[in-house]
Amino acid sequence: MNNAYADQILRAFRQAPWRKQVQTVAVLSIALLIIAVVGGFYLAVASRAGTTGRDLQRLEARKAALIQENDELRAELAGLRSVTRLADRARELGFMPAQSDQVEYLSVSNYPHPVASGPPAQSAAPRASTASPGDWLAQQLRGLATDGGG
Amino acid sequence: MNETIFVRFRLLLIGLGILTGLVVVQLLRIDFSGDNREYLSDLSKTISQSPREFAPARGRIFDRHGELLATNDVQYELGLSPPNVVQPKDVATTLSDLLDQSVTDLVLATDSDKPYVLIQRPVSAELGEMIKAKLAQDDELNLSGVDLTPIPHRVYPGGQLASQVLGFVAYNQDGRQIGYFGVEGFYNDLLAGRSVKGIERFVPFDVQPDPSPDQGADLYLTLDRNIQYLVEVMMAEAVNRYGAAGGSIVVVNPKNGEVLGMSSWPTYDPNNYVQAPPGDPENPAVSGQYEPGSTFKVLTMAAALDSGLVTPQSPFVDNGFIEVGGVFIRNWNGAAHGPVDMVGCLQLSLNVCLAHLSTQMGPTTFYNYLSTFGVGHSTGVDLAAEAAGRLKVPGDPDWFESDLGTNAFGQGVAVTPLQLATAVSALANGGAMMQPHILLRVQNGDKSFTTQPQVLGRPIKPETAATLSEMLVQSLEGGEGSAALVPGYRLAGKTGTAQIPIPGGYDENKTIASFIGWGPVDDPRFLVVIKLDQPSSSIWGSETAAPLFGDMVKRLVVLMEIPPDDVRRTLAGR
Repeated sequence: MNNAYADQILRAFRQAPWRKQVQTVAVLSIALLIIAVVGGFYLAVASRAGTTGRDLQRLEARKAALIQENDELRAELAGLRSVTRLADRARELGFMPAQSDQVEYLSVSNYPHPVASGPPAQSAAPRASTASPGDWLAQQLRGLATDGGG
Repeated sequence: MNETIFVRFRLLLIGLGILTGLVVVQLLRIDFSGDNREYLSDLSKTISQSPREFAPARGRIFDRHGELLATNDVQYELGLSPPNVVQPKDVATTLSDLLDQSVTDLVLATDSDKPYVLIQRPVSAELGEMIKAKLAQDDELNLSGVDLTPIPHRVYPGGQLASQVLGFVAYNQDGRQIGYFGVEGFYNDLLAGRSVKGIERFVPFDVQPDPSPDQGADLYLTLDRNIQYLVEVMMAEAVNRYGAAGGSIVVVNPKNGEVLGMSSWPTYDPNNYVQAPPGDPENPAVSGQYEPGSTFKVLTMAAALDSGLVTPQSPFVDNGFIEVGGVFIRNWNGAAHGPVDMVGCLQLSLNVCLAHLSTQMGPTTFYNYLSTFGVGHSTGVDLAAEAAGRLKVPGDPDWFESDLGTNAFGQGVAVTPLQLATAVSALANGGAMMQPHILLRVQNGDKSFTTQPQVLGRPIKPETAATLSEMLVQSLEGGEGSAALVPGYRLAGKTGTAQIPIPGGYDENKTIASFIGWGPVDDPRFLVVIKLDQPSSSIWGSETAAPLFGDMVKRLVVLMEIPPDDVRRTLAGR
């Protein structure tokens, strides 16, 4: 009985270093695994940040290019609409600037003509019309279309 | 077997540990050893980021109807980064072909020890595109180190249109856009916005959105593009027709002080001010002082009427001369006209009559009136480089008693065209003199500010204004300024022919011909000042500036949709 017990203890002692090594390896493996998982996450996040950063750079560059293109188009349009060019074009087409004696004024009801007013310092502010002749014409035409439809 | 594995495994771990330790030690050595640390830190920052100023686009300028007068497009800045230049010869020869610069200078630039050398700013858009194409070409040339950066550029789509009102934009030494003269100069801070200093990061991991600078505000001016064009066309035609050396035209709304059109000759193209620098970049309509001559008589008459010295019917016997302070003053034609009333004084533009009125009022009353009309003071118009004019008063070292007489008909006193327009607008506006202004509205994003009309002063009573307006209508209809009349419209106005002061007296042959007028008299919508410098076809305002006023009003009433008086009254009656 005593011998059997002694053998058991001796075997346990013999196996002890092996157990220790297994434990050490296990701990290291777990640590490595954790590092690998964390590293993996870090890489994934860094990769996403890098991709997003690159997208941002691309979008900023695109925005700058679009602003530049917009500015150029706006300037070109303004050049085409410049009064000097329009006047030259009108002359080429045979138009002449109208003089006061060449204009015939017609009385049209509801036309938003400027209203006579006194100086602002003495009288109430003049009733200003915000409608341009073009707006007024469009308004009248819309009115005609509505009437005709009835 | 197991033991062998464990031994190998142990050796492997030890090996890896040593390797890792060596790497860490080496990294620490590189990082913390004095010279390396600084060098590597600088290198890292240089490669990965650079400080940058994020400047907003300059605000645009529109006329009152929203038509663009000034906007932005793109030009380029061309520079070299000498440390990055690999083939100096390629860079120098290529750029020399495109630019007006010698190969030697460019090679020297590539040899510079500076990190960046500016070669040219601005580079036109066309040239910039050509350089860009060269840089993109995949041929045997090595152009590394050439930096082409887009920079904002100011464009004036109308060319010369309103150039003196707008001013222009140039780059300062730091490459920033600065507005000079006119609206660009006066409202530079508003238009420029506020740039933000930040860091541009090149490494995608560190990239952040660009900071947003405060945008420059858009300005809407009181100018009407069509009236401005009319004014400029008429100015150019007048210079041609009357052989004038120059001149100015100002159109304002006397009821609210809005400047509707303003032009001077000679003019310039603000798009091209570098190649064709303007002789006078300022705006002579606000910065050019001159002796106004007879147009000034309306202010003297206003003072005499308002102070109660005379009425329109007050008699005056013109014997052709008057002595004031030891100086004999004569009429413009040297003639004596006998008995006349005050309307006749204006109709015949009698210097003697007006000098008589100023002496009767006395210096205190007379100069007080002129001062309340703003003579000798800036109007405060929102345009750069405004001149205040000159009014000598008793007590000034260069004032003489004779000035009391000569000032009455616009001699020995200096005004700007806008100053005269502002003063006389009191007559057209029931005695209230309005603050002249060019800014109608400021728009910054969704925020908007609209300029409100302001009364600058009330130099005369409303009755005086009405009386004098009527007198000027009569004097125009029956006087020397009849060429200014426009059928169907009642207009008030006064001609002027002023001698030009030279050292020791006045030029015998050259004059400044002018006209000031407004209409329709019962509901004034415009007031026009015309000034022609040294017209050669005729020296008289009645033969040059007055017909020009008439021609202009004939088109102005069409542009402003002002029907003839009878039509207007009929419409108003309904």
